[in-house]
Amino acid sequence: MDIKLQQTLLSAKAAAGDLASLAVHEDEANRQGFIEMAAVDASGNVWIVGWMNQDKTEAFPAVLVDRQKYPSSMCVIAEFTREDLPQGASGIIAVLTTDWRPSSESEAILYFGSKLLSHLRALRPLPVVKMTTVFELFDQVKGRSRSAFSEVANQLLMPHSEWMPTELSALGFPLSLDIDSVLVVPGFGCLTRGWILSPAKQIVSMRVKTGSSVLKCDESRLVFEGRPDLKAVNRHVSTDFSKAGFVSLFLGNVSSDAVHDLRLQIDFAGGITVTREISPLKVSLLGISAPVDSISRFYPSIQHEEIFASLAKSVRLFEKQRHSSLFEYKVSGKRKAIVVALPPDRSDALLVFESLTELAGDLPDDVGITVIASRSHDRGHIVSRFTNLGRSRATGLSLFFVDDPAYALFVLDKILPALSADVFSFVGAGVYLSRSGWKQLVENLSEDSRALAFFRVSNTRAQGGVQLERARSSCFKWNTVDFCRHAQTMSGYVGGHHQDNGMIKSSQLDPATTSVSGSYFRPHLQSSLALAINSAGA
Amino acid sequence: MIDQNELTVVVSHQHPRVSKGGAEVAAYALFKGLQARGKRAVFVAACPHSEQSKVLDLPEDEKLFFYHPGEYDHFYHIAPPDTVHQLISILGACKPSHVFFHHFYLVGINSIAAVARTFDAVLSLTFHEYLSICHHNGQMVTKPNRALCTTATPARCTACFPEHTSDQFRIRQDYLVESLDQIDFFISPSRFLAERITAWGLPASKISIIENGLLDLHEREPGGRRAAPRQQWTFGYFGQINPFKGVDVLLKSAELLAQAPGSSEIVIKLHGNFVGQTPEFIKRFEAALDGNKNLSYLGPYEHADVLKLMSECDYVIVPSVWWENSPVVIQEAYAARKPVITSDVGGLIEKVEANRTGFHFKIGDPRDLARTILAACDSVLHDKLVGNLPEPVSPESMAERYWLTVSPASSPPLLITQTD
Repeated sequence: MDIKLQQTLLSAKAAAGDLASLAVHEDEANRQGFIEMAAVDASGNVWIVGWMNQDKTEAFPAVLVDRQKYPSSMCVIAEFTREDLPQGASGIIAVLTTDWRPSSESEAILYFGSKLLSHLRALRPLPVVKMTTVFELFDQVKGRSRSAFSEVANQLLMPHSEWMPTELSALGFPLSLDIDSVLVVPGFGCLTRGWILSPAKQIVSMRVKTGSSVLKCDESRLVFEGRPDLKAVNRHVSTDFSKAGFVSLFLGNVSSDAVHDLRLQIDFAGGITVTREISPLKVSLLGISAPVDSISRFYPSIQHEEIFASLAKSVRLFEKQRHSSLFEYKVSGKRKAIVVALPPDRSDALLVFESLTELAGDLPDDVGITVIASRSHDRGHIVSRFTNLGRSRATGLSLFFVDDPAYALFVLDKILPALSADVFSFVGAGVYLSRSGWKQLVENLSEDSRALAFFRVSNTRAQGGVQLERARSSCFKWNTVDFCRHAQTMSGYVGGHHQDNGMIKSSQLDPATTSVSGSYFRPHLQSSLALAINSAGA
Repeated sequence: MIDQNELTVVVSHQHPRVSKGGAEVAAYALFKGLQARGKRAVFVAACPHSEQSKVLDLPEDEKLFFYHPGEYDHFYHIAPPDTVHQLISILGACKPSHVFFHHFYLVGINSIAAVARTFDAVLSLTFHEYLSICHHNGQMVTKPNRALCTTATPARCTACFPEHTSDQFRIRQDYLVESLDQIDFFISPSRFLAERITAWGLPASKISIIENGLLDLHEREPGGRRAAPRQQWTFGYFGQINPFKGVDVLLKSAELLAQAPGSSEIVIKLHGNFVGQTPEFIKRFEAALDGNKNLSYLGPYEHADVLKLMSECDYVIVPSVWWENSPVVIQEAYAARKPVITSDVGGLIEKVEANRTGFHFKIGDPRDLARTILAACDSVLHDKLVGNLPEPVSPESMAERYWLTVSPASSPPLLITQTD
């Protein structure tokens, strides 16, 4: 990117940090336009296409809100007339410097101005396109763009080098290579394991292209390993098999949508470049098709690497993003809500429903029950049990479905407003409360306090009353306004919970802790890597 | 004294017309015994939808609630809502003063809890096996080796069921104990089971020991005494033909006996039906029959014929390889005046007194069983044992003892023992 523009954007982003503490409110009267599509380039910049009422000739600070606040900066690099727009409005292509990553499920609003009153609203769902699409659009409008940055934009949006796969047999020197596996960590990069047999030419550099992003090889983390298995089938090749294998890290802002179009490019001595397509069958997406611990298969000690903080940040952000889907089955709210996330095991879920069935008939009128179930649960059982709850209570029963109730906290800020609940108690998936435990929870909810309070699950049947150590965020009480405010900045966590999920810091008060009788369905087993990711930056 | 206005309900996990297991037969015996004592009683049983045709035209005082087996949760014993509603509806129409639950399996712990919440009735639960303690079919034997288990702990249980965590087993115990706290009285047919239940977590002050009554005692065809002196000794097995009942042990023992001198005077007869056995077991069974002319299989039998069939034996063998509780076959053997040879564990040795009403052999040991069988072939010894055999408990006697236990006027001491 042009250095001057880059500096201007960074400076504006720094100013946005001060603005981020301001409260924001979406008022249609202050809407200045829409974001109609977004893309992310290899350097991590976000490009938006849309339209805007105001003329902005310089980079300016902004705060992008998409479930949390992202201090950002924006610069319009192409401004042009569109026939479909109201008078005074212009089509725009702009670049953002931001930590925000667009996705089709984004609910983004870009606020700007000295008091963050003006805003651009992103379409829902938001089309996330390749950079080539942005370039093509720019190519169409650059001739009539009024922006002072058009020349810079031209340089930025030029398409990448040719990435057509190379026919190895036509090279004129012996070479064979393959990729064994690729692990994509959205927002961070690709971890790759493969092998190269190149007896005649030395490797100079490597890179990976995914969609429109090009990720360079982090050469300080390029590791060579022996491949004796290749020797047996390549006896005619005279090369050092002890270094034929490699593990490498290609850093860059790779999107979760671009994993199907990966290509490896290798530069050899003598100016020869070879491009290889990577089969989608060998590509895993962290958290979707590969667990977090699979990172260790590439770099067993990655938590000790300097890049670990950046990796952890990307993993947690992606965990939060991929668990943001919510499907409403029925909503009937009350002023106070008991929100229960069901455990994954069928028997455990039925036991929780039994507890709720016993509870429902005796609840105060202003308390409702909300169940969060998994879309992987036996739906017939869940719906029939939920319907049965209605026999004990005519109103105040709600049911939502999510991909994984262990991550229910990440959608709670969408559930609570739908319930119109003022205060709530949350019981996480994995928590079992005995009859007396539920009674304690309901009594606590009946108290007037709206402050954050935690429930410490204690197995009182065990001798001495065994206090069970788990994340405090698995069972707590709070008010909706404060929780939803906290949720905008709440980090994602592997497994959905980590200590108090940052709630104590947000509440700025010392929360009370009350013991409730119960247990947990499963031990809280987390790998050292997952724990390190969750703890990073604490 | 029995209040003629009170109505009692006996709840069973199956109806004897559908299944003739010990628990449902005992429940029905209590029901009939209560009625014989002049009590207003209703019998309520669970029935799978698929078996409805077997229970048509029931009398007015017998009710059914229907279930689909796939909807019952076998870990925490939670019945589906429909089962609970059916049971509540039936009891609502009865307005019982007392409810006697036999077994919670298929009825559901949650159903019992719902009954406790809904009705102001005296509730009792009779245990017929160790299901509250042990997830392995309530037998307290390990998986897969089927070794006897003496203590259930969450950690030990996960060894048998690694698909469940020790936390889940702890919760299972907590949930069951907490739910059963709403029961007023617990009844066990054996002291062995009562002690296990107490160790597991139920208060001893609520537990009484009452033997099951034997149904249709007077309607069964009596058997005659076998003539003496004997040229031959006949040992009978009565029950399901499956490995858990120790049939493998008996077959092996028969093979050993066939090689012993004087064994031609020993005949072993097996009675019962095959239900869901593996092809390997059936193959072993058939091979054992083929190879031993003193071993015979007489097929399934009706309960009405059991006394007659037992009369053709000298001893009844109960070679079970698990603890058992109070197998009805022992009571039937006593009714037929036959001493019993049984494995030396659990409820079995409680119901069969060694050298008084029968003999014990080392559980799972075919050689020891063979030695015991040989030693039992003694006319003087046999006649002495027959003279010691107790009279089986009648349904009326069973009902009287149940009623004494649950009556507010009586103050039973800790762990009532049955009296002859």
